[in-house]
Amino acid sequence: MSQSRAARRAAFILISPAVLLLLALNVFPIGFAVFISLRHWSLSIVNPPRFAGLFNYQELTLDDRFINSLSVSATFVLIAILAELVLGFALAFVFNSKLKGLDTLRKLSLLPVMAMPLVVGLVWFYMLNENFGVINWFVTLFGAERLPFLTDSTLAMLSIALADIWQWTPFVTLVIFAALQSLPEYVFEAGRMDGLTEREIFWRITLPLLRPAIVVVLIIRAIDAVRMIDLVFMMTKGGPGGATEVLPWYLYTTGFQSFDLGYAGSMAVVMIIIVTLGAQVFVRQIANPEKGR
Amino acid sequence: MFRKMMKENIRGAACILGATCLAFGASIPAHAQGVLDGKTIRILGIGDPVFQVMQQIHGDLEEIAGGEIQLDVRPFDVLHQQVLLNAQNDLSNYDLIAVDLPQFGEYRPFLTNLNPLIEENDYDGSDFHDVAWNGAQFGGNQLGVPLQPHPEIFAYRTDVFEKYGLDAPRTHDDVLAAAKTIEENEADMSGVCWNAARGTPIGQSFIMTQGDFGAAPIDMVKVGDDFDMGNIQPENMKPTIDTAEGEATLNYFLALLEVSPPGILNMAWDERVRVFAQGGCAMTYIWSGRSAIYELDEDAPARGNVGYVSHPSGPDSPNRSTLGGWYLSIPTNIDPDRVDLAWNVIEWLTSPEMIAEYTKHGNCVAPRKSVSADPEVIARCPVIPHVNQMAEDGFLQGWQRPPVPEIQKIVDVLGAESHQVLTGDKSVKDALASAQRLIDREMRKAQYY
Amino acid sequence: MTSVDFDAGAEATPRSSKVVLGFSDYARYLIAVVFVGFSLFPFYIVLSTSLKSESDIFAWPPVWLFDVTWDNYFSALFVFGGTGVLPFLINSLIITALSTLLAVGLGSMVAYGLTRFRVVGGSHIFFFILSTRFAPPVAFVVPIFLMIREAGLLDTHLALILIYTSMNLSLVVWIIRGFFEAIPIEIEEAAQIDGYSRLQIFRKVALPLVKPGLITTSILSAILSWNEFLIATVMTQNTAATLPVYLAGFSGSMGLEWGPFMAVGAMAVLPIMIFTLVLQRHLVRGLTFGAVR
Repeated sequence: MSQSRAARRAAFILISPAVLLLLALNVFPIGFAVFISLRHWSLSIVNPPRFAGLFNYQELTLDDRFINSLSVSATFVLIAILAELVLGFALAFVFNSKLKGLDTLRKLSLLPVMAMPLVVGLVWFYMLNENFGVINWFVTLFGAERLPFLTDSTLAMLSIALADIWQWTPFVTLVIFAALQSLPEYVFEAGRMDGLTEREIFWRITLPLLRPAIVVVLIIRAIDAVRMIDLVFMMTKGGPGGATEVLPWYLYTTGFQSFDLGYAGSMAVVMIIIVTLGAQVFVRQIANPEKGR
Repeated sequence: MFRKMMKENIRGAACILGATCLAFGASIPAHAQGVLDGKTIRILGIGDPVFQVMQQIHGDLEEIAGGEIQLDVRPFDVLHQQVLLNAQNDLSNYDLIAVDLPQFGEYRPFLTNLNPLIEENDYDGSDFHDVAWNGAQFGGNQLGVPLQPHPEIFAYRTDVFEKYGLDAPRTHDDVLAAAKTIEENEADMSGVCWNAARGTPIGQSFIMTQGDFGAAPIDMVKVGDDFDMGNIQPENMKPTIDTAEGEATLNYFLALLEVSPPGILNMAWDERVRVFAQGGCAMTYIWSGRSAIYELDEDAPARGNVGYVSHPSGPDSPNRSTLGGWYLSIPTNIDPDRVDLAWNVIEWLTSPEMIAEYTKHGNCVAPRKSVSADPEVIARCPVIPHVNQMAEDGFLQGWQRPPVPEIQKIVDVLGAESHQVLTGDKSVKDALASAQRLIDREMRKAQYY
Repeated sequence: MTSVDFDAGAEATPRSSKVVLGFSDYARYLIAVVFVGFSLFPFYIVLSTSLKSESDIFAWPPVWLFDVTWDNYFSALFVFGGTGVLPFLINSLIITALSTLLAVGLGSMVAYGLTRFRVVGGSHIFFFILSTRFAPPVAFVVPIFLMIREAGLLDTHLALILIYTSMNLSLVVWIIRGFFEAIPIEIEEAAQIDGYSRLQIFRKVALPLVKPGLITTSILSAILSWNEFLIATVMTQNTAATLPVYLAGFSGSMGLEWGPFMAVGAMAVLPIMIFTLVLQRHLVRGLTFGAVR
C-alpha cells in the first residue's frame, strides 16, 4: 500500500494512544523511580522529600535483609521453575497419546493456571496449616508427625514453591505438549530409517526441536516467578525469620507498610536493572523470530 | 485439644455471621435513636474485640442509629497502611478511623483536633479514666476519644497453678520456672503463649519486654521508675536497642521458646488467647479486653480459672504493663459537612451504655469509671477490677511504646530482626547491632540528629 | 497426528511408531489421573470449605461427607462490615471489563498500525511494547502511586483501568499482530478500491477477520485484570477497591472466618474456572502463543 498523507495520519491515530499510555505508565515511572530513589521520601512523616544523593543505594549494600531477599528470590525462582519444567516436560509426554479420555484429563488439569493467585495462596495456606490442615492429615496417614510447613525455614520456602508449582506446571505441560503436537512426523521417520534408537531420536531430534518452546516457557515463567508476591502475602508474610522474604515482598513492605518510598524506590531501580538484563535474553530468543526463520 | 478450640472459634463466628445473635436492643440509650438520620457513617476499624462486637451486632446498631454503618475491619498492619493511604486522598474515604494509642505521634498531622467539638457539644470527658482520656492529648489538643484502651497484662491458670503449688508469677524467672514445672507434668499443656509471629507482633513483644527490664526503646529521660513522655526532645530519639536490656529481652524470648506451644512462631494477638482459652498453654500475655474470648465461652477450660498480674518483670525492675488500645478519631481530610455526623457517632459509640453493651458480646474493656464500677459488667468481665487496680498502682504506662512518629518503624525493624533470632538465623548480638543501626538510620533520616 | 516416542531412560529398543512407548497405557492413565486429581484437589477444598458448616471446617480428621450450607455465601455477600463483598465484586467487574476493552482496542489498533503501515522506527516501537511485559509491577508501584496521587486519582476506577490497560497491552499486541499478518493483503486492497478509508478498513474489514484473536486476548486480559492484587491494594481502598483487596483485608484476622473467606475465594475463582473450561480452545491458543506458532 502506498504511504500517503492520509495513511500517515491513520497510522498516527492507530499507534499513538497505546504508545502514549505506555510512555506515561512504563517509561516515565522508571525515570521517576530514579528521582525518588535519590531522595529521602516518606509518606508517614511531615518531613517533605529531600535530596539524599546515593544514600539509599549505599544502604542497600549494607542491608542484609535486602541481600537476603535477593538470594531468597533467586532460590524461589530456581526451585519453582526447575520443578515446573521437569514435571511439565514429563507430563507433556504422558499426555502425548491418542488414548481415549486423555484429552479431557489434560484440559481439566489446566484449571489452576488461571486461578487468582491470592486464592491459591489462601487455599494452600489453609491446607498446609500445622494443626488442622488436610495435607498434614495425609502426612499423619503415613504415620509421620505433623509438619510445621509454614513455620520452618526450609519447609516454608518449599511450601510457597509447591503452591507455585501447583499453579504453573499445567502451563508448562500445555506449551510443551502443543510444541510436541506441532512437530512433523517425517523427521522421526527419517531418524528411524537412519537406524537411530528411540533414545537417540529423543536426544538428537525431539529435544532440539523442542528447544524454542522450552526457552519461551522458561522465560515466561521466570518473568512471573520473579514478581511473585501474592503467595508470600497469603502464606508467610516473608517469615519465618526472612526465609521467604522475596525481593518484591521486601520492596512492597518497605514502600507501603513502612512508607519509606525513597528506599523502596532504590530497590525498584535495582530490580528494574536486574529484570532488564534478563530481558536481553528474551529479545534475542523470541521477540525477533524473523531472524531465526 | 485443637479441634475443640477451633469449634469455639466458630461459635463466635456463628454469632458474627448473624445466624443466632439477636439478643440485643432493650438497653440502647434513647438519645442515640436516629443518630444517623438516614445517612451512612464510614468507619475504618481494627480486628480487635470492640470492632468485632460491632460487626456482631451490626444489624441492631444500624436499626438504632437509623442509617447505614459501613464498618471496614482490618488486621493491624493493613489498618496502619490504609490509614496512611487514606491520608493521601483529597477527601477521606472514612469519617472515623481507629487509632492505637502509640500511633498518635505518627498520625497527628492528619487527625482533627476535637477540642472545638468537645466545647461546642459540652462533652464531658471526666468519666473516662485519666490515663485513657489524656493518652490522646497532644499539645493540649484532644485527638481521639477512648473506645477500647486497655493494657497488655499477664494471665495464668489459677487451677493449674494451685495443682502444682505455684504462686502468681511476678518475674520472668517465675514465669519460666512455672512453665517448666507445668510442661513436665501436663501432657497437652504448654507453658506460655505470647506474640512471636514475625513483624508487628514480635516487634511489639520486644519493646514491651524491654520495658520489663525498665528500659525504653529510645533514649528518654528517666523519672523515678518511669520515663518522661511529655517532653521528648530530638536528642531523646536515639535508639537504645543494642543494650544490656535489649540483650536480656532476646535471651528471655529464647528461653520462652522452650516452653511455648507448637506454631508459636506464627502466633499473635488472637490466636494466643484462643490457645490459652482451650488449655493449650498455662499462661499467656494478653490485651485485657480479649479475656472475653474465654470468659464468655461456657466450654472453655480457662473460664473462671484465670488470674491476672501486670507484666512479670526482669530482675530488679518494677512491674509495668503497657497501655494501648483503640481510640476513635476524625481524619482532617474528612468532608467538612460530615464532621458533625462523625462527632455524633463518636459520642454514641463511646457512651456508657454502649461501652457496657460491648462487654456483653466479647469486649472486656471499660474505659469509663461509671461502667467499670457496674457490678454486672464486673461479673461478665472479671479482668476489669484487676486492670483498675493496676491503673491505681501506677503499673500501667505508655513509655514502652512512646508515641513518636517513628514508632511503627522501630517495631517493624525489631519485628524482623527478633524473628531471625528465634529461627536461629541470627545471633542475639548481630540482631541487636543490626536493629540499632537500622533504627538509628531512620532517626537520622527524620533529621532528629 | 502421531504420538511422539519417548523412552523414559529405559533400555532402548527399536519399536514401531504405532506402539506407544516409554509409558504403558496404564501408566499414562494413572499418572494423568493423579495429576488431574492434584490439580483439582485445592478447588475442591475451596468449594467444600465454603459449603461446610462452621464445626465441619475445623474437624480433625477432615470431614469428607457433610451437610451443605449456604450460610457462608450469605454472610460473605451481605453481612461483613454491613456491606459484604458485593460492592467489591461490582468494582472488579467494571474494572475488568473496561480495562479489557481498552487493552484489546488500543492493542489491536497499534498491532494493525505496525503491520500495515511503514512507520518510522516501527520495529523499535514493537519491541518497546513487548519489553513492557517484563516490567515487574512491584518495581513500578512506587512511582505510579505518587503519579496517581498527584493526578488526584487515588481510589478511582479510572486509575486501575489505565494501569491494567498498560499492563495488558504487550500481550495483546504480541498475539494480535500474528493474526493481522495472516490476513491476505489483497482483501484490504480490494476494500480500499471500494472507497474505504484506512481507518474504515481497520474497523470494518481487518478487525472482523481477527475475531478469534480478539477473543483470545480479551479472555487473557480479563483474567489478568480480575486476578491482580498488588496494584489494586495500593491504589484503591474503598470506592474502587476490587475483590483481591477485599480478600487481602481479611488475611491476618483469619482463624475466625474461614467459611465466608473461602466463599469469597470461590466467587473469585469459580467464574474463571468456568471461563477456562468453556473457552479452552481460545485460551490455549493465547497461552501457547510465542512458543508454538
